[in-house]
Amino acid sequence: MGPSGAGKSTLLGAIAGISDVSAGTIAIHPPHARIALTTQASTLFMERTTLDNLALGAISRGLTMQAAREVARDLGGEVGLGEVLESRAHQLSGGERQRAMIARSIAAGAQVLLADEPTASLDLASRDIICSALRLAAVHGSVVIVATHDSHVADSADTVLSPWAES
Amino acid sequence: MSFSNRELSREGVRGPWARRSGSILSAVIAAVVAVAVVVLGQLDVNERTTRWKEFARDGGYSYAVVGSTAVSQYECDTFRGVAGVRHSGAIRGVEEIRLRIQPDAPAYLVRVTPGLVPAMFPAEPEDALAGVIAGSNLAALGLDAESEVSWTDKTRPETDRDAVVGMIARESGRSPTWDDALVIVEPADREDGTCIVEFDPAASPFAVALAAGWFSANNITLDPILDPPREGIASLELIGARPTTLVPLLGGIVVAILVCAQWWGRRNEFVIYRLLGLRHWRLWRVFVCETLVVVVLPALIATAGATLGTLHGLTHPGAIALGWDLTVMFMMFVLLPVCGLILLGRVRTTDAIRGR
Repeated sequence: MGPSGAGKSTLLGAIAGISDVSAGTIAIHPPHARIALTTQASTLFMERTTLDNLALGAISRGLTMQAAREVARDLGGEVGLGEVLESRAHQLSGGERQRAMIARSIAAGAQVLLADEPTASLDLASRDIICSALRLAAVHGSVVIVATHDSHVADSADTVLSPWAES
Repeated sequence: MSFSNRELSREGVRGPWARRSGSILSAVIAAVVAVAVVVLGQLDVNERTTRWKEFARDGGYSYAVVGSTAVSQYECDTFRGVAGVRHSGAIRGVEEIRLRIQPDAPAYLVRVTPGLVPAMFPAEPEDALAGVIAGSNLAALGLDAESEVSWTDKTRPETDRDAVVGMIARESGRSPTWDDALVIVEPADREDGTCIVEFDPAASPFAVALAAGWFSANNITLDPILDPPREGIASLELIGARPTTLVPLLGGIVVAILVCAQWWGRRNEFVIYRLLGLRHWRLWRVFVCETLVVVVLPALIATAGATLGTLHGLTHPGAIALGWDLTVMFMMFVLLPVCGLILLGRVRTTDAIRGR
């Protein structure tokens, strides 16, 4: 947890390997763990259906499209996207997009799921659903690291780190 | 585990399918470029071929052999037996004359060796060209085959000569002078004369070497009959210098800009592959498949259609030009995946996620 501008997103980006690290080291165990990152901005194929977006996660771990769709359909139901699986991603609400990204990460078999401000700009009900989705990822075996300044999300975490607050 | 190659290739189809309007636009532009390459290239080559034929017909490959010493009529006349030489013969003499039937009309008496006559009157069968031949304009004066013609030298009216006309030649097409001429075909001898040689177009690049070898004792040069040589002569060597060689280049650039702009607009989508653990260089497979579906396939279909449509008028130089142009165009298209990789290699994942 930390205030805006503290560097939470930068830290997640560094762990995910998409941000440059100028000093220090990041050690991940196991070293080649599958890391997934969900961001505040939507990283979905907007012209494709929710189902296809979720299936892409499963495809990324070597499944065929057919098998991936089955996985995606199950996961979509688990995160509450069953009704919108055939909708295109651009038709989804902000909360649904976040859940789709989390479900895609689960489908991708992420061992580490990095979620950057997953509940930003969402109402309370949606935040609860996102928290449920994140817990589902943990149930599926992912280590879930969430960067947030939302105490509601922090309350549902096993461990809360606030290094910025201490400094 | 990561994306299988098969599914990665399929991603190259799913992407364009999901964004059909942009893909259709690219496909249509690629098809239009392909049709333009085929049609414009053929029109250009055909027009140049026509001009080249006119050039050849008008004597574009004819030269006067000028030697440091006199060129004998005999050597000149026998040069026509050399491969690559279409016609060769000598002008033994030219006189301005007055015809008895029309003293005021301009007329010439031209004495030539047999080898030159087919070059003077290309429309006539070669075996008919012998004896005394009247140019086409003399027919208007009342001369015809088998008629007797008499004349005097223009400067010496007291001279009086006559002959029987063997044939009236059709219009020369080479020189208006020939159409006003009374041509007397005489055997070549060792006397010097004005030697005129017409080469086969295919042999024209070697004309100087051929002539120099034959007239080795004369240290000769060749003066083109048509002066100056006309522009726009399509030969196989000049096919690569046509303006329409730019069409596949420009068309390829237009398609490349369009496709790369679309890829750039979708950079946040390509970044998703990275977020899912795909290494950047493996995206080549996606780019290749997208290029095949959106550009190459439509261009191939359009090329086939346009080629079939122009097949009836396809000439040998046209086929060579077509092959060249299509190779250039498809080479441009083949480079597209590389452009895509380079373009998106410059994209920072974090920037793309934020829409920058």
